[in-house]
Amino acid sequence: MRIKAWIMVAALVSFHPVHDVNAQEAARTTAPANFAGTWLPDARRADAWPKDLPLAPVARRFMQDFDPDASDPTTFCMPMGTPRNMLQTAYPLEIVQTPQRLVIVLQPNLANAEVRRIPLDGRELPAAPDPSWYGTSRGRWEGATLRIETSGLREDAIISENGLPHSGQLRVIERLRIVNDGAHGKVLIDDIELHDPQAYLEPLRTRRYFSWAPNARLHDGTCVEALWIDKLWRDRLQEHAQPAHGESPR
Amino acid sequence: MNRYLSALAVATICMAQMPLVLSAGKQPRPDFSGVWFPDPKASGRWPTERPFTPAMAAARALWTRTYTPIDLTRDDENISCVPYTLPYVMTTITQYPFEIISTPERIYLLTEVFGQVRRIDLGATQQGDQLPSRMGLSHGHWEGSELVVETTHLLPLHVGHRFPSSRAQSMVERFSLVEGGTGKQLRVRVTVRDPLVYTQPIVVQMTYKAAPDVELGEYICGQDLWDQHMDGSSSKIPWR
Repeated sequence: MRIKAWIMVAALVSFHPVHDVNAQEAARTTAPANFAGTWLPDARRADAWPKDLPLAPVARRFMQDFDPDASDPTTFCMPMGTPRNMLQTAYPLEIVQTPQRLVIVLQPNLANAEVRRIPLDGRELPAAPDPSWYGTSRGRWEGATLRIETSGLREDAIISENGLPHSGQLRVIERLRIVNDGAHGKVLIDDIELHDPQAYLEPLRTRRYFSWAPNARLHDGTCVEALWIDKLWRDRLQEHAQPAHGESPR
Repeated sequence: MNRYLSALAVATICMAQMPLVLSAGKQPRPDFSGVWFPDPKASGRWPTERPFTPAMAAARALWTRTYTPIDLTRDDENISCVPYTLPYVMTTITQYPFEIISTPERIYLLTEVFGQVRRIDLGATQQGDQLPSRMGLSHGHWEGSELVVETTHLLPLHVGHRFPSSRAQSMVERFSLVEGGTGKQLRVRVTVRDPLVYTQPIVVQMTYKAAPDVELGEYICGQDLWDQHMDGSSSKIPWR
């Protein structure tokens, strides 16, 4: 009877997972990070671009002639696009994470939320994806770091507000990871490489920091409303209101 | 000693099985994750004659007298690329899909049209500011296999709008999954209450069809205007 009881206890114990301290430690260091939540860009820590970027002549000329009022998409409430949305956003970003996918939601004060969808299921990046503002991305884990490769980016998007251009050949490689340090707390680091042999003589590299901000909320953009109210609605209201108030139409 | 060990073993077995016993009484919670298209044939519509309060009816009549003729091709805000506001995000029959991503704490609803993001908190109400917005603040809880979502803090729309609303507006949605002859369906019963605008609640039953092979695309409302602008721009794209 005593033996039976011990067998039962041993069997019960064996149902519970065996806690291997080394395996846990290994998991802590190599398991995929959990990026889910809201993050605020820390512009003070962002890498500045070097003054003399290694640009191809055609890209340098474009930058010299760049007129933001005429050619910056955001002037017209168009998207920042990738990678500018990671490089220049002044608003919180939100990351949704499942085992199969990472979704990065950015909500600059423009028309749309900018939603980057990054499959993590091992599927290959297409050779020539259709051009889009947010691009076609694939992610894979390198330990706790997520490597994201993005291509298929529209060549009418720009990288920065002073007109740093890219061609349709741009390939963006990002490495996302989380660090904890005493001075800044939980921080998301995005190491960004821009490979574009048509526009750059060598790859451009920079880094952005995002601070953990669990209570931050993303807000609706009002850019389009402002355009609509200023350039359409107000005109129509005046046009319609004047006859109603006995005034002559303009 | 034998007796104590046996009792310990039995007690341990009972404790180990307890979660299974407790969960056996619960109904399974459906997973709404996936891509969905509105099904116009199986979905309801807003009532043609809406039950406006006398004050709202008078305000709309004054607005119409003042601003008629309205030219919807110029003055409709959605045609002018201003995004939808709830409840119309859910009740408008569009040709565009939306996607639901479920996480333990929050359900995300991503629309293709206007590229909007809706968040439904399942746990504690999200902290932070309480400003009105197009998606408002949504909080969900389970009632059996139905997800019941309550939404407040919605952006009010002016009296002349096709669907006016006030800050008193709230909505309750009941999400459920149905396996029908035409495949998996998501049903959402939307109840809108706005005592400053309507004399009674408005109920619209929506049905969405699963579209497992569809990926949401980029919807950039102003793309055509931007393309036309860039075609005439002095700042030419170097690689074009």
